[in-house]
Amino acid sequence: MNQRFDEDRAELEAHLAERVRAYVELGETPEQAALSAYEKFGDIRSELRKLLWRRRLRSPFATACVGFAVSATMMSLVSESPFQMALVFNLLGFPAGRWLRKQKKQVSFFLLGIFLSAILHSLLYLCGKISISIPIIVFFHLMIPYASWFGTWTKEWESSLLWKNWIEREEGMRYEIAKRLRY
Amino acid sequence: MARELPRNDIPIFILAVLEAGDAHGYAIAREIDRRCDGGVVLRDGALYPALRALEDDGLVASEWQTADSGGPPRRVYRLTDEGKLEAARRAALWRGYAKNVERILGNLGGASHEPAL
Repeated sequence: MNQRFDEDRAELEAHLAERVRAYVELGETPEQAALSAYEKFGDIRSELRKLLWRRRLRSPFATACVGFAVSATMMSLVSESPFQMALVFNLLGFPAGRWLRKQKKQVSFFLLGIFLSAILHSLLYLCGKISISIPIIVFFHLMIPYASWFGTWTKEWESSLLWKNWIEREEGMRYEIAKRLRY
Repeated sequence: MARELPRNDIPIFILAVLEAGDAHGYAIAREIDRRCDGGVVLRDGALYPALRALEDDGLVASEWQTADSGGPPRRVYRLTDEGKLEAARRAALWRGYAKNVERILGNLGGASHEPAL
């Protein structure tokens, strides 16, 4: 994941450097050119974040989670042995999850709520406390309308860890580009 | 005032540029700018999520290449066979759509290119 992330960053930096060079050739000062290039590019952090999340959501692990979540939840509502049935129906849930994610990016966060409810339900079922799980499922299903907020919050939290040093690095990059072009 | 290119429209622009030959991200952005001639504005950053989406769908393939001039390596994109077919299909859809819009607009604004329905 980190290697792909570094590749993305290298690609975006190379793009920016070329854009800066082009503006300099058009007669702008290096500082002006760097600013113009950033303006033309848009928010680098946001674009890189999109690339990162795109990879994550398309990973086999995420796909498996989505497939399991859908099948486990569906089976928990109709079967006496949801955990076993979920494993069987995961074979159906897997392609369904892939298709869903292709249709809408945010659907993964929507399904995360279902996934959590399925895990809890399965655990409680295995412990023989099936009746307790029903309010928990209802709770997670009620959480679905807040899924987009949850997704945003998760992204911010995740990116605050991942991008801890990015702001400084981005500032450094701007300085480096301007410095390199100064002579 | 130039309109910003909607993100959903970017993939067909990329396919159109790559149809003419392999290119790296910056070259694609520059070519789109050149073809639009300032009519629409492409935010360079929006290009990359679209390129990844096309790559994930198997329409575009990429590889890192070292520049002959000794510059930094670049990821060069090319259309796959599937991408060429898809580019032709999407182009036909777009042309059909544009033609229909033109028909619906009719003489509105006094600049009709197609007869009104």
